[in-house]
Amino acid sequence: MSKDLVFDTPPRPASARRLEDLEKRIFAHEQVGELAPFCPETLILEFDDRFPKPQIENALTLLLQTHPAFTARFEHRPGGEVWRHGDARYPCHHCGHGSLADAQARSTRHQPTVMGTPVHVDLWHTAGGGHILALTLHPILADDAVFATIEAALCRALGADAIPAPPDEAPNHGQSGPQAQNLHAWQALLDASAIARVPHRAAPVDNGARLRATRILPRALSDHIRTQGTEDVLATALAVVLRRYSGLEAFRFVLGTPRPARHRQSGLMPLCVTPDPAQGFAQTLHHVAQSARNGRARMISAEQLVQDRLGRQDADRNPLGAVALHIMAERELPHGITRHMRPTPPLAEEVVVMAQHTHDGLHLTGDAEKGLYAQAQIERLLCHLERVITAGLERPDHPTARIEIVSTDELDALSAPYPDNVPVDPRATHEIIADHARATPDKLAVICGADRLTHGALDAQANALAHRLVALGVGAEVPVAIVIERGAAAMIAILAAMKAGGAYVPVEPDHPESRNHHILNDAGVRVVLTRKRYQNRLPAQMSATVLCLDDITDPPRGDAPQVTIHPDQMAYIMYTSGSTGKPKGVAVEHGPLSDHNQTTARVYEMSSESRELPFLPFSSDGGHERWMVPLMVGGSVVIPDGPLWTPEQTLAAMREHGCNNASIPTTYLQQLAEWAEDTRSAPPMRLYSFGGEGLAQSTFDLLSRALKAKTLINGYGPTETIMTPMVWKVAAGTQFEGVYAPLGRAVGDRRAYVLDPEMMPCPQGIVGEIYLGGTGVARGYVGKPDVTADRFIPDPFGPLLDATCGARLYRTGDLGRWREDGTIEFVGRVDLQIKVNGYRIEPGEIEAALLAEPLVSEALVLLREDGAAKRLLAYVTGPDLANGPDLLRALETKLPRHMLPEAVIVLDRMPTNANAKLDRAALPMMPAARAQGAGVTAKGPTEEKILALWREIIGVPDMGVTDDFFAMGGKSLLALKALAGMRKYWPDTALTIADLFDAPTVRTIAARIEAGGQTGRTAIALRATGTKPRLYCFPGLLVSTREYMRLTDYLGPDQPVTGFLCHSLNEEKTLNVSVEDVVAEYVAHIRAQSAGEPVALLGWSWGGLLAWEAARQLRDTVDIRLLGMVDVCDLGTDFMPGVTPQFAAGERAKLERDLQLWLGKTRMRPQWDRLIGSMDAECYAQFLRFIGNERDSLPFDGPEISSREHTFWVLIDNALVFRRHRPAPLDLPVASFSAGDSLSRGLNLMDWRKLSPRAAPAEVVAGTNHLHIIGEARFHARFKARLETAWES
Amino acid sequence: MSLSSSHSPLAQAQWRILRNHEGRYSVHPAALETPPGWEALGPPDTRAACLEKIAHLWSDMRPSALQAAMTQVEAS
Repeated sequence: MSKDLVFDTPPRPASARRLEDLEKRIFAHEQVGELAPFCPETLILEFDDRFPKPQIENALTLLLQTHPAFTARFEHRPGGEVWRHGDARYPCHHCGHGSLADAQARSTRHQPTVMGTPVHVDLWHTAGGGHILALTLHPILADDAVFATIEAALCRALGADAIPAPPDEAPNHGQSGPQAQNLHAWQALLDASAIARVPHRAAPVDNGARLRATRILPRALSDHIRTQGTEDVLATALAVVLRRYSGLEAFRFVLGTPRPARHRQSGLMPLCVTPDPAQGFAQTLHHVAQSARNGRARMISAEQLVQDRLGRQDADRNPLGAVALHIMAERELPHGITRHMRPTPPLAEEVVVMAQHTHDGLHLTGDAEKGLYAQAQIERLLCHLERVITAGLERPDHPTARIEIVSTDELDALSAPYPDNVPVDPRATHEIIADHARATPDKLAVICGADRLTHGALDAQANALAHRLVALGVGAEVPVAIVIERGAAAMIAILAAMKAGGAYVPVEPDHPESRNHHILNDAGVRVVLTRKRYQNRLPAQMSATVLCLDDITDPPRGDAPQVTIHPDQMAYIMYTSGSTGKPKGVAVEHGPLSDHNQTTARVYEMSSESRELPFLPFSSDGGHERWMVPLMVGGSVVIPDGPLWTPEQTLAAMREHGCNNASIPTTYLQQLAEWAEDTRSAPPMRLYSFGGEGLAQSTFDLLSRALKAKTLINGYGPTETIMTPMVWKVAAGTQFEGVYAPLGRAVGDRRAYVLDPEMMPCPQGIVGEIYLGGTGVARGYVGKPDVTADRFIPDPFGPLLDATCGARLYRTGDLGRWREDGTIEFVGRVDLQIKVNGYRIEPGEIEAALLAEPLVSEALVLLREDGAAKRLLAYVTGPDLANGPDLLRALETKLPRHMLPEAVIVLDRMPTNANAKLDRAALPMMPAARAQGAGVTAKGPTEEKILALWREIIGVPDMGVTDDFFAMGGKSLLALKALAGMRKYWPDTALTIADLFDAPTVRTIAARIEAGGQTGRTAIALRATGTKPRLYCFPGLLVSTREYMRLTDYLGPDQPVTGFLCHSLNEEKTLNVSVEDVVAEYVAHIRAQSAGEPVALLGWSWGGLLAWEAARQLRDTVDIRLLGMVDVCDLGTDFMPGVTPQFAAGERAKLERDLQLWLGKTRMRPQWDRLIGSMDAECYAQFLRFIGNERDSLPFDGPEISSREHTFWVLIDNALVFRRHRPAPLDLPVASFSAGDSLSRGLNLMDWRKLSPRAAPAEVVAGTNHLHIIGEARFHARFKARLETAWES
Repeated sequence: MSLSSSHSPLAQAQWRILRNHEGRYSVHPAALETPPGWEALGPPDTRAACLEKIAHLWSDMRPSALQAAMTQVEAS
């Protein structure tokens, strides 16, 4: 049983008022059908049985009659203005018996609306004799601060222990200076701080969905936080965590801030901080609290700040900050009343952290964009906040940089190697290989060209040579150079060197002589094993004994020399090809080498059945791993007999010899896969392993698809950490998120770490330097103890994780991040990392994004110094590449704004110097066209006149007749000036901006003018051809159609696009044309061109009203699949019929006098007379009001196009045109898009759902404004999705 | 980003020479605890100065166990 109560006492009269900024914004959101980030707000209170029913009902009655949130009524006046009245009465709904769950369920179903029922009041009886009150209000009426006043009023009315009402003015909300001065101070502050983000995935999905995580802090900690100041502690912890995440030194995030309860404001403030990681938590807290106080002292409205930021071309979509912190004020309730639900702040930022004290402890809630984050990341953020607070309050002077945000357990799991519990065989590599000579002497071990060696033969030949080496004095720590080409002989020589106790030093005979001589001298080589034909490549002066294989005729023998191998003894010295300086010799000991090989065999699942084709050269340590490991398990190898096998040869060899795995450099593997795919010649294989460089998903997919192997292994490792210390082993077809295939995790007795500059472990997703540690690292650099000590550092984690003490970590110089599963992703090189505006940027990430574009074959990203300026520039090559701007736009959709280069420059080839190295100085600074004019001189009077005019207008004195007007810096407004200037010379030639568009050089447009009859068009083919039906774009007022070019680029080569010119830019036009007439020309064009094909129309700003009218005229004859409406506003109050302007006493007469005085002076008098003459009385009054509202005096610089007066005239003329026009209802599919800023300004945006039953609610493109939305990639992505759906329908 | 980068507070700090049980050398920030298994040698200094000293101190890069084993073999 339920009944609606209606109270009979009249509400207190309240005067009507216009909406405040925040109310306007919320109203605009509702108007376009997309309320997010706002939502209906609910408060649920439970009263126990000490509050009898009549007492509650009376208190409610009083509340509903007197509290402004419950007496509000809204009036939507013509022109979009909304008024709030205080004379409404809303009923309380008695719901009968129910539980908290019932109350929650019912309130979620309520959908309050501004113009319908904005308030729902439900009262329930509980089983215990108490009551539950659920208040669900439209966000325009209430947020948490308003509910605070509702709670206070209700408690007063109940006569319960009074709780203090929130203060009317927020503390510290001083208005110390004038607003303009405060805005100026904020601009400087925001310019100096970067926007800190929680790192997110690279290719975000922008769908508005959110996810949420919560964490309850322990009571004791929560109490400690409260005594220290909840806001100060939380803001400091967030600052510390964000600094660790981003590496930024000066950054900002949003702090929700108390506001006066009687005003509706968003109460957001950017908090700009520069926390010093060397300082303790206490000092950092002092700094953060001071920054917050300073901010509040000069606070201005968040809306004003946002609008100011969004007016800039490069504004961030979260201009105040991408992470927000809200401390929910603690509000005690009288005994007997419990609060079950209260509103949250609007969830507009990428990550919103909310903190609220409860009886259980401090509740932390993290709410984040689902398209950007995984649940685990946000849970981790909350966990890191807790760890920083716990550590910071415990040891307030301990540097915040040293606070452990990754726990020992987490570090253990993240750094752990592939699980492997098999006990290690203590013998050396060659000893294990020799085992198989005894067990399976006749089994084939090596196939190389015509050579066939069994395990027995291999061992016997190595033994013979080993005895000879021992005789030459080879023993422990004695380097033996192997100057022999890859093949069976080299393997025998290497095994012999090890059997003799020496260390082998591989030298590629074909490598440059200078490099090889350096190796032979630097390593202290005592014996050189080589062939006669390589002897002349050895240094003339060398103390080492040279032994040519050709001279040796020792018979094979079954016994190896009696040599004991100590595990610390050197097995080999491998020279690294460093990018700078001479190659360094890396010494590797037998113990870790054998251990590595044994574990690798198990990770690779090798057995005596394994037959591997290793394609890696013997000058890389990986090349040796890949023959040693198969032989150690009794398998066999097929060694290519030349360095350059074609893909065809390689695949044929695999098939002929029955290989079941292959190890191949990534670069070559791609060619191999392409060949295999084209010829369908992939042999059946169990495993491919590869490595050497970053592997993109597209390449990985190709490998999966074309090579048909079951398992793929991506290997990684610097020589210093022995062969392949990390691998990523996956089933073919695996998808990975990220730019490159993961490097995987460590192998054997090693661990892999990602550490920040303070040597602290980075949490998952945060970029740091990759360190490899454990026993599986090299001894160091031969003869370079200082360099060794520099790169191999004490391992601080071993004692914690494995109880291994005294181990070392190798600093790889590579950047990476841990993925969720603990594998490491490669990001770039430490020495290539750059900083732009405080942001750390990995050029490799940008390069990878460019390489993922289909036509790009090479990409290079550099920070170039251009005088004092630093510019981030991208260089690309590719046989079919033409357009750098296209690539830049492609990047916009993939990379955060701070990672976008200034330009993508297309080159025929990368410039190289004499050494075939990249010649950086030869790279152009900017695209050639913009650098300077080509300076081709004019021929004939037409070209001369135009060139002089353009040079002056654009301000480029060396511009020539073949330079592009727009590429030289000609913007829309300059184009109008140029047109006006040219019309003066050729008044009889109809010149439109379309002509300038199609013929953008002096030479081409001069030809048009001279030919006659080819100018004056109003439609421009932005993309002439394509397989899809055509899109027609309608212009906003006074803009050319160039604004649609970025969209056209984004829609791609299949999507033909035509743009129409704004009629105001056309030839002298007739006064007071109707919208119908303006559109008629466009309609005729579409009708003629579409010829039965479907079309889509798109209108931006006032162009939307034109598109709507065009659709009305076309709908019977043309198949219109979609009407796209971008930020289309209806007429405002200025010229809306029915809006009567208000004047102060005598104001109207004064304005009329001013108008007459001005008309006496202006050269556009005839045009103005005609325009004013066509106004009716109401419109004339509105015109006077409009002039009166203008801050500047009336302009008289007309009538040139682009003059202020001309623009003003066009604006008024256009207002009159639209004043007489009302869009008619149409049954057509409409997709509409609103700029976040237009909503926040409360503009009178069109609600297309009122005009078409097939109109969807608007999609809100946050972080952009009315002007910039049309060039915004996030709008392009959304429109493209809608357009593609429309074409499929 | 790296330890040698001048931006890192660690790079500007004082460092120490450490040696482990195998006789291998390295450097470590003086402000941080010496990791187990390592002993500090000499007074703190700049990172570069510590590395320079190591260039002289660590003349035989063979681990101590190997040195001992090889000495034994020679003696026998």
